[in-house]
Amino acid sequence: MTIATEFIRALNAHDAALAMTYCDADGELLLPHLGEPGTLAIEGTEYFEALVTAFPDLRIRTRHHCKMHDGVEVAEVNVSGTQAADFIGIINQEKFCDVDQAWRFTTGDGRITGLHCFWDQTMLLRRLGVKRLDNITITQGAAL
Amino acid sequence: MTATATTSRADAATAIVSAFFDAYRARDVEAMIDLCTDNADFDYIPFEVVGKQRTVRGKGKIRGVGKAIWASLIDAFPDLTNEVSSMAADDDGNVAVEVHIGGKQAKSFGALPQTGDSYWLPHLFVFHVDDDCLIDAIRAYWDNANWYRQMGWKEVG
Repeated sequence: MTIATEFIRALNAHDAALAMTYCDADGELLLPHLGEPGTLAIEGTEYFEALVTAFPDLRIRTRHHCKMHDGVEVAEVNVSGTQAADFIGIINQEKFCDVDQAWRFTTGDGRITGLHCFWDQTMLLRRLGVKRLDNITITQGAAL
Repeated sequence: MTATATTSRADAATAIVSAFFDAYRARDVEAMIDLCTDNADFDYIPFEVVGKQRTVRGKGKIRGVGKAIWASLIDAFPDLTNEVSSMAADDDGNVAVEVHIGGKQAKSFGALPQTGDSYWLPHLFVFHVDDDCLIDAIRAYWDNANWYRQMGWKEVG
């Protein structure tokens, strides 16, 4: 087991708090919908808590995993689940979605020091019933 | 971050992948393909063009769908370029690359109508380089929502 696989295992157990204990608070987080880099402590906690809450049947299946030199790990995962609550501004329509993603971890001294996630947000939106980028929610007009 | 000594296998793999992005920056599709095996696998995970008769996905062989996508992308964005921000390799020929790719649109590309806008989009590529120092698999990830927003296209699809 690596620190990255432990992180994923915690999320599969729907324990976002445990997953975040493996992370450096100041570690850089990149998520497609953020637009700008965040931190693992703030945006990371917010996102992964929202993920496990909005998708109670969340399943993260690792398709490929590589442990590179210089503390880099790359996990290519499939993230799936049925939406049960509003999620990052996307109103709940109880849709099932599964999206292939790539998570690039930087690690050091047994901790996650950075996480860059890559996925196609349009695929996520389509699966969750959204048709236009400028109309993500019914009640809000906020774009991602 | 802990620095670890790389191996000759990792160094050779990163050299081939660097050459791949050099060729891509030169917009030389044949040179890109020459760095790959004859049967190399290609999977641009987010790529999907919905046509009237069928949907074209970005999964197949480098010398088939890969070549077609690269050629049509360069044709639509004739100043297409890239900037590698990180590259990491293991001892099994796997190489992960964070790279920005972008350019100014001059023609329609798939369902994307010609807008004259430009984009600059972060990607993650995962390559596998075989024992003969040839690329035998490429997988890539990016966010189409970011791309569409930069190009002014609102429909999700």
